[in-house]
Order: sequence, then structure tokens, then C-alpha cells
Amino acid sequence: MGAENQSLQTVLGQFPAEAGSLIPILQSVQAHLGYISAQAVCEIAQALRLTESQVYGVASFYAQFRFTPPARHGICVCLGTACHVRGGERLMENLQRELGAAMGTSTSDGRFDLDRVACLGCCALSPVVKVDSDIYSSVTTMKLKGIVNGYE
Amino acid sequence: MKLTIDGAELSARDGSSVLDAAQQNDIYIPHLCSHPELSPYGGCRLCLVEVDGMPGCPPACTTQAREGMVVHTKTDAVRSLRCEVLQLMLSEHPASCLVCPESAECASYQGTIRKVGVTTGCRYCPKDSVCELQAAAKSVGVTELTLPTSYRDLPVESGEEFYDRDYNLCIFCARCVRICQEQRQAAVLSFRQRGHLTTIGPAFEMSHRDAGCEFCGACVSVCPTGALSEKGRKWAGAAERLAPSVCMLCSQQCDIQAVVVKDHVVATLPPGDPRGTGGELCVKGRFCLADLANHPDRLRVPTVQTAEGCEEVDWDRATAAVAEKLRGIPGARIAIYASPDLLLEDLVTLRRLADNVLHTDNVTTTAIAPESGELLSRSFASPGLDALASSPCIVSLFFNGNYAYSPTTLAIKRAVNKGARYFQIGWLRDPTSRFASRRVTPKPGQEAALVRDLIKVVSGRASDSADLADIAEALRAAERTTFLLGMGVACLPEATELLAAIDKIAELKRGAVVAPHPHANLLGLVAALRPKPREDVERLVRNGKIDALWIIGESPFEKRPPVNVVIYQNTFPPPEQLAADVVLPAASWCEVTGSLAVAHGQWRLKTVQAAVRPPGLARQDWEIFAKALEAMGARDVGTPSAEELSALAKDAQRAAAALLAGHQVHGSAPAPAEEDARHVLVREVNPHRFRGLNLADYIEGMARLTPEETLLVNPQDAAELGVRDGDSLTVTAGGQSRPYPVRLDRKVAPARLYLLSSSGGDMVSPVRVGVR
Ligand code: SF4
Ligand code: SF4
Ligand code: SF4
Ligand code: FES
Ligand code: FES
Repeated sequence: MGAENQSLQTVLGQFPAEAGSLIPILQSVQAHLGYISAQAVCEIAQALRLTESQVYGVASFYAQFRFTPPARHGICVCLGTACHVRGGERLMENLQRELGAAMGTSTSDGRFDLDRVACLGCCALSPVVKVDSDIYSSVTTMKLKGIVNGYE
Repeated sequence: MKLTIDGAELSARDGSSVLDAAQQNDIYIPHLCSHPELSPYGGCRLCLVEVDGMPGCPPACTTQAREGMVVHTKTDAVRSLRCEVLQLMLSEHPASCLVCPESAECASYQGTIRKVGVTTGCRYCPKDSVCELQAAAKSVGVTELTLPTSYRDLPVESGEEFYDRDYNLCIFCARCVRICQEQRQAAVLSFRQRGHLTTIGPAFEMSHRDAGCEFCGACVSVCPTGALSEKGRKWAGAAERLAPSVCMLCSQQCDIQAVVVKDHVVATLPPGDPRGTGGELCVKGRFCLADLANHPDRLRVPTVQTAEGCEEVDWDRATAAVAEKLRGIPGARIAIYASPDLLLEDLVTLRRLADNVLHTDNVTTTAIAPESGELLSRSFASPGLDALASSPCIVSLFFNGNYAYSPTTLAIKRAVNKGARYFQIGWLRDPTSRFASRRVTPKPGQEAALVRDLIKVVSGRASDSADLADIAEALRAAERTTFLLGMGVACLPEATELLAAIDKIAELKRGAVVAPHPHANLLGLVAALRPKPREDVERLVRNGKIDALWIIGESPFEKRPPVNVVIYQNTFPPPEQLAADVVLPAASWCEVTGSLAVAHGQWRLKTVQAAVRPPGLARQDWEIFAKALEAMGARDVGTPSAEELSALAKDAQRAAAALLAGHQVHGSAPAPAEEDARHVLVREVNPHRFRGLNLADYIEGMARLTPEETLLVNPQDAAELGVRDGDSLTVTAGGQSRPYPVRLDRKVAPARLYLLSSSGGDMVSPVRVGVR
């Protein structure tokens, strides 16, 4: 709590206290903490003289902001056209079942965030799965298990 | 400005939108999101029109009307577009009320195909027959649904205070979001997420109360559909009439209108268009008044205690009993406690009763505590809200604007929007906190030091308090400063000194003092009755010098004191242990006619007109006094004349001054602090009362917002102490311990415990306490 508060105050100190700073502050908080916590919303609101509802309303409008702490690893299944055609959807279904987490959420043990992406720019290697910054190409359901097991 | 609408050359006011221009000329364009009190939004797309020279069909509400513009509101293109828009809206909105073939009969005769002994019919929407979506569908001519329907299946939010929310009925017109933001400036509601996931509400899963909702009901008033509905009048249907009235729950005396259905007040609204003027009222004026009048526990019949027990009687027997019981008791041995929520007519009649028949001058009120006299006399002299709204610098001291005094909190918000600097010194966050340039909460153990520093700052002497540095700066710079004083100031041991310093600067800088208080007609009471100091009368009672008590409203006694006769006159039954001999049922706020003295500034009267009749045999207080006068042999008892009332003007100032002299004013002595205790207990006398009755006892929502004798604890503290809502904490101070129920409240600062105390008089300064 204390550390979080400190980095919040540092971030808030870097921007002028006006409503226009809201988005840059949100981005910076997310970069520092990995997500926008309830406390962050509260502190940002106080600093900018907005209400928490206003801050949350703006933040939740943009898909880039998340409100739960990031998991240790992020799995991204590509569902761009090429990957979709070559079974990306099936990979996603599989992962959801295996990990017990819906798309856009985290596993309850905080191990994985499960997300989709619309083309990673390497369609020739489709279907593609990205874990953290590692790219896995021509993934099959068989391969998927091994990939997942490689991350703790 | 001249323009052509549907072929007719018309004129419209400059700055109008096309929708306004049409409305000014009685041309109806269907619209839903637009609202006269709100900025244009252009969200519902129902008001589409065609304008020569403009591509497509622009919304009339966001299109500026211009000289020479040619507008078509009824072309086929526009009609079919509107139809489509409505169809889209209705595909997600349960709409059987619009398309059910039975709907016409259903409205007048709720038929049923089953053999049951009750009328049924689909009463699923509380706005049925007053819904703007229904009206729009009718005018556009939608009679069947052409698109497949879907139901959002969101849970109905009915667990919070005063209003329910069923967002399945919501059409996302954003009126609620905008009114909360633009008018009330509470900004509790936001659109969350986007696309088909959009919902309306506060941040995360926060409750409205935690998000700072003031329960002003503005959002409920403007909602065009049944999405937002008042719990209290959910199925009451359309208003039969709107009666202008006045809220009598505090010194602001807000104008209201009573919504009357079948001779009952089912709701109260701010004046103006019932479908939504901005929220000027506080939760009490908006949501409590009707419940207070309609409560099943209201007194309806006089009762007299006889050898056989308690007997219901008519007025002749009741007043005969009063006369009988008081016969032979010398005036000096009779005491009267009057309520500051009585009208002037009541008070003047009471004065006659006391002077001419009972011959007593032991007339008093619990509303003036020894500590508060000084503050109240300033409140009477204050220029009122105008001073606040136009002030470039405002300092509020221990003022609590939560669930109360909303004209005052709104005036502050508006002043700040116009550039005023606002400083808040106090214990709690309230609706004005977000508007403060600086908030100062005294640190535990430093309260007195802060007040002493403040006195220095206010009197222009040097102080080295960093907390007050920018307040000092602003006071020097501002040409005028308005001080907003809460009743809590009276609790400070240094109250006298602080008030004197404030008086001086207010005089010097043409500033002003504003001090709202919880009573509707305290100035009227002071002028009409010239009450004795409360503590003097109480001493007489304690010392056995009083034989008979007549209590109208506020009672200082929970238990019967050592007297022979207790007469109790109020809207609700007396505390059982008071063991009243005679109980007289009085009329409530919406059942009385007469006048209130405006609470501040020049002597002015405000008229109050009864909206409905009192229940059962209950009567307005002056009538009860008049009946008693007659029973005791007085003749020619009429209502007080207008001259009599205006003659009080002279008395008012004198009486207010006498009030000060009568109460040898002193702040209360600081309570002994608990050594090395970390928490500070702050007590405020519960201001949420009517005729002495705690609103929380009669109104469920208030029991949750303003619970009496309950510790409000900051959630962080609660986590550290390991307590949750409803648990109990034992507070120790000066060797005494007492357990209190706990309620978590984000408005309370860490290390503070806040308590609304029930006892009317004993104000207590903040004290450090031990907590277990
Ligand atoms: S009741 Fe008033 S403060 Fe609360 S959400 Fe509605 S408009 Fe906002
Ligand atoms: S709740 Fe009512 S006012 Fe608010 S957006 Fe929905 S329909 Fe409009
Ligand atoms: S501010 Fe006072 S008078 Fe106005 S609505 Fe609230 S309680 Fe009634
Ligand atoms: S579609 Fe998956 S990488 Fe392009
Ligand atoms: S009324 Fe014009 S868009 Fe809603």
C-alpha cells in the first residue's frame, strides 16, 4: 500500500493538476503499477478535483486500461484473419478451458492474463500465440500445453 | 431571428436550437435526451429533421437555428428515420406497455383472464402513463415492434437508499449523468465502459452513497423512462395536483411542491417543471417529507390517561382534561417547551395561552443550547445565501453539508465555478470538499492549536501554521470574505474568541457570516415567545419547582421528570417513559397554514399553505392552543392578525439580542483526553430532526445515511481495528466506556470517529478517545 501510494504521488507530481492531464496520468499510472487500482482512481480524482466516477468513466472507456493487477504472464492469442482461418479461435477456446479464465481476464492464481490480439504482423507463421514477449508460431493444441507449462 | 419550419415563417429567440425554435412556436418534434435544464447532447437521435442546404438529417437539439433557415420536421424521410430510431431503442427496452392490444383497457380496468380476487395487469414499470418514451412512441406512431427484441437482464439495483435503478429500462439518454454533473455537480454517475457493455453508475462497484451521492433526486426527476424510480412513490401513478409548499426541516426553508394523489402527499419536488428542475433540495426535502407526513405511526386521536388506562377522546374531552389537570397550578409552576418548527401563528397563540391563561413565563425551547446562543444570534443577523454566492473568498468552519443545507453547498460550488477561493476546515468530507482550494482537518491533539492559529490568521497576526498559510494569504488578498459556520463551532472551547475575531474581519472587509441551523422557525420562536434560557427552566424542573409540563415537539426528557402533569403535543407518540397524561395529535408540515420568519437578515415572512388535511383528528398547533384557551374560559380566540405578526419584527432583533445576554455564552469545557490515544471522537448534535423527532427513526433511508449514536469510521481505520459494518466498538474517555455500533464511511478522515449524538443540548468538543 505504501509503495503504491508513493509511486502514485510521484506520477501525480509530474503533471499539472488539471482535468486535461487525466489520460496521461492514467497511462503513467498503468505503466508504473501495471493497472489502475481503486486507490489510484481515488488519488487521481482528488488531485484533479474530479470525482472517482468521472475518472473511472474515462478510464473504462479505453480498452488500454485495466483495473485488476496484471498476472505474472500475459498470453495473447492472435485472432487476426490469417490466424483465425488457421485455428486461432480453437486455441483460444482451448486456453480458456485449460486455464479456467475467460478472454480478457486473469487466472485466479495470478499466473496468466488471457487476451486476444488482432494480427501480430507475422501472418505467415499463423496461428500465432504470444506469451510475454515470446512469439510461438504454427501453434497446435498439442504444442499449446507445452508452451503454457513453460511459464510459472 | 426568422426561420421557416414546415413551410411557415416563424420567429425564434437568438441562440435557440432548432428544437427550441420549434417548441417556441408550438411545433412538436419528438425528443428524449434533450432537456431544458441541460446542455445539448444529441444522443437519442429522435429529433432528426431536414434542413435545406445541410446534408443528411441533423438532430434538431444540437443544430443551432439560424436566420433564414428552412427546416422540415415532418417529411417522409424524417418520419421513417425516427421510426427506425425508436424501433432500435425499443428492441432493447421491454415495451409491452406500448404494443399490448389490451393496453387501453388495462389503464382503466385491469382485467385478468384468470379468476382471481385481485386486479392484476402488467404493472411492471413505475413510470407507466408518465413515461416520456411512451409519449414519444405514441407521437411517432409505433404500434408494433419490427426488430427482434433482446433483454439486457441486468439485476435491478434496489438495495440502496430512496431510489431504485432498473437499467434494463434505460435508453442511455444521459440526462441523469448530465444533471448530476452539470446542475448538482456531484458527478456521481458516469458511463462506464462502452459499446454494448456500457452501464451507468459510480466507479467500480461502489455504492452511490460511497461515491458521494447526495440523494437530491435530480437524476430521478429527469429520467424519461422507468429506469430510475423513487421508492416512496413507485406505484403511486401520475400526480393529481402539485401544491406549492415549504420544507420545514431546516433554516433554509426551501420552496418545494407537494405531489398530491388522493389527498395524500406522495412526494415532494423542487418548484418548477416536475419532470426535472435541477436538484436544489437536499435529501430531506426531496425524499423525507412525504414519508414523514404519511407514516403509519402518526398520532391521529387525542388520548387521556385515566385510571382505566389510556383512552381515546374527542377534542372537547381532551381540552377539558387539559384544563382540569392544570386548574389551580400557579403559573410559576408550569413550564412549556415549544418547538422551533411551529409556524408564527402557532407561536403567537401559544404566547397568549402562556400570558393570559396559564400566567407563566417558563417558556423555553431545547433548540437553543447554552453553547449555541452566540452562533445562532449571528445566524439570525446573517445576510443569507446571496453573500455566499457572490463572495470571492469563502472559509467554512466545522460546517457539515452532508445530506443537509443544499442551497448552501450549491452556492459554494457555483461561487467556486465563478472563480471564488474556498477553504474548508472541518472533520468530514462533504459535497463541497471537491471544490476546496484547501481542506484542513485538525490533527488529533492539535485541535485547540489549530483554532488558536486560526484566530491569529483571521485577526491578521502572524501564525506559523503551514496548514493555514494559503488561507492567511487569501484572506489578505480578498476584498471580501464570507465565513460559513457550522453548529460545530459552538462546541469549540475557544468559540467566543474565534467568533469575535471573525466578526472583526467580517466588519473590516465587508464580509459576512453565514450559519445555517436545523430549525425552520427558530427566529420566529425567539421573537414570538422570548424564551427563557433552557438551562434555567431545566433547573426548575430538576429542583421540583414545576408541577406541570406542556411539551410541544422537542422534549428534553426521555423519562418523566418529577412533575404531576405532562401534556405532550406532537405528530408522533411520545417516548413511553415520558408517561404523558394527555397526548394531543398535531398536524405535520404539509397540513399547516401560516407563516415562517425568514431565518436571517431583515424580518420577512414566508407563507406556508396546507396541501392536504391532517390525518384523523390531528389539528394545527394554534387550533389546539385555541381549543385549550376556550376550555380554560378565554373568549374571542381567533387566529393572530397580520398586524400582530408584523409587530413581531420589532421584537425579533431585541429578542435575538436578549437571547445572547440570557445565555452566558461559553464554549464547552474540553473533555479530558485519553493519554496517548490515537483516535479523536467528534460529536455533532443530530440536525436531522422535525419537531424533535429523529428522521432516522421514521425513514429507513435516513437510518442508513444518518444513523444516530453510531460511530462513523474511516474504512482504513476499520480494517486496522478489525471491525466491519454493524460491529461494535467501545470508546473510552475520561475513565468512562461505552460501546457503539460501527458504520464504515469514506467521508470520515482516518483516525477520526464521527458520531451524530441524540441529546439535543450537550455539545461536546472533540476529544481523544481509546478504542477497543
Ligand atoms: S441523487 Fe443527485 S447526487 Fe445522487 S446520483 Fe442522482 S443527481 Fe447525482
Ligand atoms: S437512467 Fe434514465 S436518465 Fe439515465 S440514461 Fe437511462 S433513461 Fe436516461
Ligand atoms: S436544505 Fe433544509 S429546507 Fe432545503 S430541502 Fe434540505 S432540509 Fe429542507
Ligand atoms: S493474423 Fe495472426 S499474425 Fe496476422
Ligand atoms: S433529443 Fe435530440 S438527439 Fe436526443
